[in-house]
Amino acid sequence: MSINVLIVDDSMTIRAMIKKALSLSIPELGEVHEAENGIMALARLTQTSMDLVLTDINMPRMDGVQLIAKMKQIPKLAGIPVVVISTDGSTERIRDLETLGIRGYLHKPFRPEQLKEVLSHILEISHDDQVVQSGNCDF
Amino acid sequence: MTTKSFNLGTAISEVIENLAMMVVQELDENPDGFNPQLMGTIEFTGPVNGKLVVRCSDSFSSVLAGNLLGIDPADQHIQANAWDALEELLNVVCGNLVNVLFDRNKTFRLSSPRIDLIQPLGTNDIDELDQIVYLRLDDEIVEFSLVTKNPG
Repeated sequence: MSINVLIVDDSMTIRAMIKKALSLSIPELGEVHEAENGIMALARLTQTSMDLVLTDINMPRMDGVQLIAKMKQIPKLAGIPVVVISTDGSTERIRDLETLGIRGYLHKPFRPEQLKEVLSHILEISHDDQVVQSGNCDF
Repeated sequence: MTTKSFNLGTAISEVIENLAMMVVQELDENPDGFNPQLMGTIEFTGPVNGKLVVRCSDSFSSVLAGNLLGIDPADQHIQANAWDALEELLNVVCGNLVNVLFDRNKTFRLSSPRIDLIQPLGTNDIDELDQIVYLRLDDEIVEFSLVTKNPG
């Protein structure tokens, strides 16, 4: 089974870095799609079936928190595992993201092996149970 | 709220070393021959408001993009990523700094980073210039300055 991933970040440099790290982290990596903000991400998610979303928080037009909240309101998207990759590592932010049901958090800057560690656990769980429970975070 | 006792150079160096895998050396003073062409700015709001400013050469942005992307700085695709790489450097450095320096528990909002061709660092809107540091990153010299204002 190939795994389709959506990378959401307003920096093309970061998207390229994450894409490279993904290729080292997921042997069954399928299509990798990119979006510059939450609005573009939602459009892509409604068009293409995704198995994982990696998103930044601080983005123009629609930020990562708004994107995750929107996804939870749409039944078709609510079960897609979301991992946040952001510079914002405050305890206040992490607590808010936990409430939204994200599955993992990576603090920038991160190493490829850290991404691999987070994803291996999430994808293993997803294979066993396709319905990801809200609030089941992998911190 | 006051800035915690800190070494700005050390805090920035740690982030850059982890992000871009560059060798970082903090310089004692404004180095002779420092001739930046680019200036980047990112503003932050939260328990403390302010901005982080970086000044550097154009070639540094290409070297940075090459390091981040793992490709030769002379590669034809570098130029398209050079300013974007510098913006992301500011974003990551500032995002880490505000929590380390001011309040790890609180959320800060960061503006979109902005890169421009160089202009003298204005002082009209600066309440307090906390610190300027000069770093040697590989063979390039980069200046970072932190400015804080009273909370809005």
